[in-house]
Formats: sequence, C-alpha cells, structure tokens
Amino acid sequence: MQTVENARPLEVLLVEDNIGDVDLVWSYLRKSNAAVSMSVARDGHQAISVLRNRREHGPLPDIVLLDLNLPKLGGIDVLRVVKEDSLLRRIPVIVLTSSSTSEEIGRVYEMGANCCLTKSIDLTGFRQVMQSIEQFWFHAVCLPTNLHESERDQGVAFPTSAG
Amino acid sequence: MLWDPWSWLCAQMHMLGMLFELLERTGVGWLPFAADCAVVVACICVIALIVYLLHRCRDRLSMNRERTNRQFESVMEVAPNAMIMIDPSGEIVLVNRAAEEVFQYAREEMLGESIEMLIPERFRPAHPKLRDAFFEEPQTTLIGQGRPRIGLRKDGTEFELDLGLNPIETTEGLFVLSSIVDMAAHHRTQKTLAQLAAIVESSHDAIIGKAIDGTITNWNRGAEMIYGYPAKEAIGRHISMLIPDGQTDEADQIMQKVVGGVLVDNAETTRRCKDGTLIDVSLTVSPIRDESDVVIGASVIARDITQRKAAEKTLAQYACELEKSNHELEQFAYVASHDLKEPLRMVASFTGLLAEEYRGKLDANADRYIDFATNGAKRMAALIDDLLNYSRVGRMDAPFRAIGLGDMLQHVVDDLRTSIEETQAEISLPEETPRVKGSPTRLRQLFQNLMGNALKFRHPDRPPIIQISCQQCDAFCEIAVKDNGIGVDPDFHERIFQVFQRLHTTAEYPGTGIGLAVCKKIVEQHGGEISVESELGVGTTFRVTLPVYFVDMDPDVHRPKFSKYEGEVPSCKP
Repeated sequence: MQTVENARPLEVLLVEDNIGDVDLVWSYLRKSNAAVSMSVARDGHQAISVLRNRREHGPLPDIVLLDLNLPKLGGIDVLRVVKEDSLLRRIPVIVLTSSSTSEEIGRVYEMGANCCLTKSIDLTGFRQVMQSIEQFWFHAVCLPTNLHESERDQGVAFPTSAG
Repeated sequence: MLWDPWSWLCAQMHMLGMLFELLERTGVGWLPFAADCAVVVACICVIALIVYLLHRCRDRLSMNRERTNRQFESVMEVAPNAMIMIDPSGEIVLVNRAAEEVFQYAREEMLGESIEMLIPERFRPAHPKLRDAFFEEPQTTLIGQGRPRIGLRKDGTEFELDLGLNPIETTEGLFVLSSIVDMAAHHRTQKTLAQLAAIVESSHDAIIGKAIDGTITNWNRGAEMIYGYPAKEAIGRHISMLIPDGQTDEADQIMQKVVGGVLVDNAETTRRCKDGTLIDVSLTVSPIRDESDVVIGASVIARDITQRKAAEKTLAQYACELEKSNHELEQFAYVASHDLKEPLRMVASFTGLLAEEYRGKLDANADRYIDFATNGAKRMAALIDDLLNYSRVGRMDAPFRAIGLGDMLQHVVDDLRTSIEETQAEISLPEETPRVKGSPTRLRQLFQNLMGNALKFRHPDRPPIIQISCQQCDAFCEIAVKDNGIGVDPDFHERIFQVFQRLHTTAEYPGTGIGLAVCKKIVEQHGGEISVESELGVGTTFRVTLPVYFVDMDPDVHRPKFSKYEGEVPSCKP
C-alpha cells in the first residue's frame, strides 16, 4: 500500500462547501480501513491557495475530491488551475457532481479530470460511490510519489503548456 | 370606259376610204371631188381634236370626283358610328362596317334596299313622309327629339339609337348621310364605366391616379378615408404631400420604376395623413400608358395596413414572450429540480444515517418517524429525477434523424426481456414498418414507457398480450400499442398524460406518474400526437403518430425508405 511506502497516510484534499457532505465523506473515511488523512477547502479560492502553498512548501495532497458546485470560484476553475500547472496536474482529481448532464461530464473530462462521479441522492448510493473511490484510488492504482525539491525547481523551469 | 381618240380617227379614216371607193365605183371623177374631200377631212380632224380635248377635260374631272368619292368612302368605312347614305327615294346606296355591326345585316343585304327595312314596322308607314320632308328642306339635323328613335336589327330586335342627318349634294343629286349611334351599346358602356367608377369609389383601399410629374389626378373615397384629404383638395397637388420627411427618395424610386414600366407590387411603407399621423400602407403602383404605349402616369392602390402591422407586431411579441416564458419555464424546472437535489441529498443521507445509527435506541415512534422521513426523501428524489428527465425532453436532444421503427421496437422488446418473461407476456410487432424521423433515444424511451405500462398494468387474471401495429398515412405513421390489461377509466383519459398524475396508489403500482407525460412530450416534440382508447377491465390502446422519414428530407442520405423491406410500398395494416 502506498501509504506504507510513503510512511504516511494518503492525503485527500476535499474541496466542498457543503458541511453536510464534508461530514458524510469524513464519517465514511473514518469508518473505513484506509489510512487516509483529509484536508478540506470550503471554496475554490481556498482550494487554489492551499494547492499553491503546497506546491511551494509541500507535501502535495495525493488525491483531490472536487465538488463542481462551489461558491465564488467554481470547481471547473479549480480543475483548470490544477490541470494547467505542470506540477499540480499529476494529482488525480476526482470530480463529484450532483448534476450530471452529458455536456458537463464531457467538459470535466476534457479539462483533464481523472474521474467523474455523481453524488447519489441517498445514503446507500453515497456509500457505494465512496466505496468505489476507496477501492480504486486508495488501493488499486499506483499514485505518483510525492514531489522532491529538484522536481519543484523543474516545474518552474518548464512552464505550463496546457491552454 | 375612256374614249379613245385614235381609234375614233381610224374609224373616221376607214369611213373616208369607203367613200372614195364608192365614188370610184360609181364612175364619178375623184379629182374635183378630192379638193372638197380635203376640206372635209380637215374639218373632221379639227372636230376630232376638239372632241378629244373635251373628253380629256371631262375625264380629269371625273377622276377627281372619283378620288374624292373613294376618300369619302374610306373615311366613312372606318368611322366608329354606323353610317348609311340614302337617295331621295329612300334606297340605301352606301353603308359602312359599323352599320353592318349595328344592324347585323351584311353590306350586300342592305345596299339597294329601302331604308325602311331598318325601321320597326309600326314606324314604317310614316317614314317616307318624314324622309320626303327632309329632302325638300335639307339641313344638318339631329332628329328624333321627343319621339323614340328605334332601330330594327336583322334578328328582329329593336334598339334605341341616336341619329344625325347630313344632306350631301352631288352631281348625281341630293343624298342623305345618316350617322347612327347604338344607344344600347352606349348605355352598356356608360353602365360599365359607372360600375367601374363605383367600384373604385367604394373601395376601402385608396386608389389614386397621378401624372408622370407626381401631380394627383384621381382620388377615390378610399383615399379620402385613409389619408384624410377630400378629393377636391388632393387633386392637382403633388403626391409628395403623402410622403413622410426623409422618405422622398423612396417616392422617386417608385416613380422611376413605374416610368420604366415596372409594376411595384405590395411595397410596404409609411405615408403621412392630412393630420400628420403616419400610417403603414401596402402600395401597388402600376404604370398608365397612352395609345402609343408611353407611360403617362401611374395608378396607386394603397391599403392601410397599420392595424395589420400592429397586430403582427403584437403577435410577434406574444410569440416571443411565449417562447421566452417556455424557455424560462424549462429552465426553471431544470434549475429548480437540480438545485432541489442538493438539500434533498442532505435530508436523505442524514435520515439514513439517523436510521442506521439510532434505530432501536429511541422509542418506536422515533423509528417510525425516521422511516417516514427516509421514504419521503426517497420519493421526492424520484420525483425530482423524473421532473428533470421530463424537462430535458427536447432540450438536450441530438438533431432528428432516420430511425428504422421495426429495429427500434425490437430493441425495446429486448430491453424489456426480463419483465416479459416474468409476466409471460405475448408481444407481436408489426411486419412492415417505415422509417421515422426523430430522436432515437427519445423514441426508444417512448416505446419503452408504452410497452412497460402495458406490462405493468396487466390484468391479474391473464398474461399480457401486447399487439403493436403500424399504419402509414401520408407523411405520418400511426403506431398502436394495444394491450389486454386493466384499462383506464374514460374519465381519466385526459389526466393520464399530465405530469405526476396517478390513478393508483404506489402500493398497488409503483412509480411517480411521469411516464405518459414524458410520452406525450416526446411525441409532441416530434410533431405527432398521442391518444388513448380504453375500456376498464378489457384493455388499452395507445395511438402515436410520428413523422415518416423520406429520403429527400436529407440529401446526404441515400437509403431506402423502409429498413426491412427495401423498395416496397408500405401496406397499411389496420
């Protein structure tokens, strides 16, 4: 397990304005067996400042759970900032949305989201979604290891290319 | 025939020759006689010359007269009035073409006959006396004042006429030339003219005549009504008095077109009335030409379309508002249901958590209340989802395309396979189906709902039999989905197509009651109609009309009209 290799638990950055959702996600993660720590950003601006701060001073979160419907700066804008940055773009972004029009979903993937899930309306559905996230992203996949100092410099040397 | 002096002289010489021969034969010496003869011959020659000159003179006179006669006759021939010349005995000596037309006799039938043939029998006896009186005291007159002037045609019909008489002195004596006007024809023309004038006058459209320089020459009552100027005020003025400032160019352009012989048809523009108000008019301007085809003016027919314009504007406004309102409503339904989901998710999730973590820890009532809340939230979630789907019909759909109806129905049956097997349903599909024009997803949803309903509302005592038939009528095809289920009470036939209308409790038949509303919306989006026929306890038939796809609708697609039976004419299956 990655967390073991890194000698620290996976860090999930949850970008979510709804305190209820934060509570639900946290209550799920707390009960699950995964060694996961969670940071929360309550709007888009906060998310970006957290990420920029971590980009400078490390460590980066391992996974971003991003709600699309955020006050001030929306989830789409956060996604853009992350995916246009040469260093931040390696972080898998899991988009959570309650609206699931095909246009919106398409747009999210176009902008580089790593996966998109619909927030289920009831508890059972929610648990199923969280369970799949846990199984796939926390256990199944290989996540990029955290940044070293040299890489951080490199990131500056190679500015973003994504438009 | 002209007198030929040469042959006359020859004849004389011949006679002389014969005389000499006679003298010789009788033995008389011809020499003493010859001198006498020379004198005689000279005399004869002089006489011959005189006679010849006289004859030439007479001929020239007669040729002149003949030319005059011919000229007179040709003028008379083309005269528009009927003209008949008679001699003192009343015999017709000359008639013209118009006379033939008026009296319907051919020229030959009239020439040489008595003028009385053209007068009704009852006036005939008195006529010669009148005629004689005129010949005694001939002067140009318009006769017949105060008594009926009646003519008789060949077919026996009588007609009123106007008669002018002219005495004509000739070498051959006195003649009378009568000029006759058929008053009936005249009256007819007058009547037609009057009718036309009345039509022009009574028209609600303004009918205006204008000269080439724009001077108004005619002004009907319609023009008075529309523009406010009485005729006597408008005639003689320039047409520019009707043209609003800044539009003078337009009037010139119209006039230029008309002078060029072009008709200006239904040009919509603005005109100024006497009181200064501007009105919308539709103008038809056509050139007026003289006999030599030169444009000498224009007729303008102006229709006041101010009200129509206003109505059009109002209508367009309504349409725009309606569209806006519809759009807003859709937007509202979508946004509302979308935004409702957020808080609902909280309610549903946390009542769920409450139920999980506190079931049995509170009293029995608390458990019941939590269940109510959980179920209510679930149900509301379903309603919102359905409402969202309903509002999305037609909103997010791809452009319509050709869909093979038969294949699509088969797909729907495949999708419903599980419930068909569970209910032991018997489903029959139409053998021949056209291609329809529409959204594949929506039409599949439509038939899934209809067939799903037929399975869901099946009769408890018998397995469902679902018959789907198809009948093409012109540009549409009607698809009937017939079942033998529980049926729908006729009182509710309208209601079942409304959103969230249910005829049963959720315990009897689950669902939100959106299915048929979605069906209706889908069908209407396709320009078709949906209707229901049903008998309670016997079964229900839903009829759907959908537009048939024709190849020429889409030039890029060159496929046959029917997917299964290529090239075959569809047979309408009742």
